Amino acid sequence: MTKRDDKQIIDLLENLPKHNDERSKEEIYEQIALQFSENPHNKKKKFIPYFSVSAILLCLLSLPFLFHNATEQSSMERRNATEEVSLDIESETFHDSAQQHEESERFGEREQQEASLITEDVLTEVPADKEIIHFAIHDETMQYIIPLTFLVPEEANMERYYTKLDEILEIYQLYPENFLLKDIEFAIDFDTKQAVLTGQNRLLKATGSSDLLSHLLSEMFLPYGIDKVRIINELNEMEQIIDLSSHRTQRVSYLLYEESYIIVPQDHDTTVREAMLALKEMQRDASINSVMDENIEFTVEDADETVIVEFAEETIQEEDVTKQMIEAILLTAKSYGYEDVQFIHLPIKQLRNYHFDNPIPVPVAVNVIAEIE
Amino acid sequence: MKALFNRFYETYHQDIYNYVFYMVKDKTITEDIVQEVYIRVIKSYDRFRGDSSEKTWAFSIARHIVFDHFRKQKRKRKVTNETIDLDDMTEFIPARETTPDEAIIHQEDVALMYQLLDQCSVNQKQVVILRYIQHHSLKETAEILDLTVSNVKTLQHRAIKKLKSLLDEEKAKGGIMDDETRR
Repeated sequence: MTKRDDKQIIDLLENLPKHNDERSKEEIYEQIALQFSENPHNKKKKFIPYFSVSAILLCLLSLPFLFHNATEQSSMERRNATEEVSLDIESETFHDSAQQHEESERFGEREQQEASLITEDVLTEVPADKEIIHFAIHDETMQYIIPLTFLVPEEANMERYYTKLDEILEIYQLYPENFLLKDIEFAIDFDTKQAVLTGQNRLLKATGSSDLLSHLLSEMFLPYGIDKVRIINELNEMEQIIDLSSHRTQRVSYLLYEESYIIVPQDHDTTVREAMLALKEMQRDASINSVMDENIEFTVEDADETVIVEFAEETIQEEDVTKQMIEAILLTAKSYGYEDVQFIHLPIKQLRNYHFDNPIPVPVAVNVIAEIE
Repeated sequence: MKALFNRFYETYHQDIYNYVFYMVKDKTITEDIVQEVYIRVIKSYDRFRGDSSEKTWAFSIARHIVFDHFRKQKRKRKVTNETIDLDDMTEFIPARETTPDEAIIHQEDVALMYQLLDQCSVNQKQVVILRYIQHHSLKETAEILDLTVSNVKTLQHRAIKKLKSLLDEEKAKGGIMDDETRR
């Protein structure tokens, strides 16, 4: 669906009539006063322990969410070399099977417009007739979450892909050691927003011992509005409900690329400006590469749903403008709820599919692995 | 009590009425629900902590009462052994009364869109009403619906896509003339 189609529908919606109450203010007040006089001793509702909720939330926010990588090789260089090769997202890293070649060919045959929606590791728009499947895995140290995105046909039975999670991860060689969700049966109703996971007792144990599982499930299910997941063991004798709603307010840390990362600062109180400036100092760990030269100067302002990033021209050179830098800024803006970013005073007009003359929409998904049938 | 009522009436009444009407599409039920909104606002205003804006708080109350209404409808349906998912609640929205406002919906596509909105899921419909009919921001919509901004965007995208598809289907059936045909 094109933006013009979107606009057509939005125009129609905006032309729908406003319905106004025809009763007078006095008439309404009389009715309310009457109800109060009939039920003067209404029970008071229970007080909600807001502070307890906040405390739990703060604990969750303090959890580490960074991905550890042992390699210290200059991944940017390796990656840049790879970038020149292909737009073919599946072929870059993950597998080499015959199926992959078929998918690569199919991808290559798409119309240019649709192909341009996918800029390798991030998806800038859901292609026509496609839906997004959100998977997530953890790294082998079981410390960090890696969100994964697959594209599936629009009318596909989404639940089917979750039932084949093990198989899909194996095909793409993404199956982590000691995967928490190994051999789990999924029963998901996307309409009623219910998810039930059936597995061995170790899964139930994981619900109590680690927040990794709830982080994993929140990456997979919150995008669909599913905020509670029921976990039962195979004999249906034990049950645990995991509430994912506290993860909603967390800023997302994005792990991108095989060996270099974009990590969006997740401190709950940081502003989008502080988060973007922190991108320059993002070398907290030997395994995390900075996405931006520390000498680059810029200002950050927002205007409604747009973040305006204005560079000091004398501090940025053409070679400083990398895909990693642009996507780090876009994803940071996304994590703060903005819709697009206007880049000003970049030394180049275009980088790959990013045209800097106009505001660039934030990506809709990250780590796009493949299109699957 | 009256001062609070007056302030809420002047500030939010017609917007909340409009939101509730689009959700239930019945004038009498809308009036009852809006009345219940005032009762809950008056009863609980001393506990409103300002974590969200007053507007999103008031709309959240309206949303909960609308859902209570849908749940009651669902229970009524269960008595007659019909099973309907909560998220398909639009199916048992009562037959619409013709209101003066409806009578003025003359533009064919707009009129069709008015009907097609009921074929979206309840969550999609709420997002569409709040975003495009009531012009709430993404953040306000997320707060009212207790969703993330990202969830709202996803629902918004799906709703638009679904409405486009439904509109195309209807046009293909010939029920509605497209612009080309009109010329």
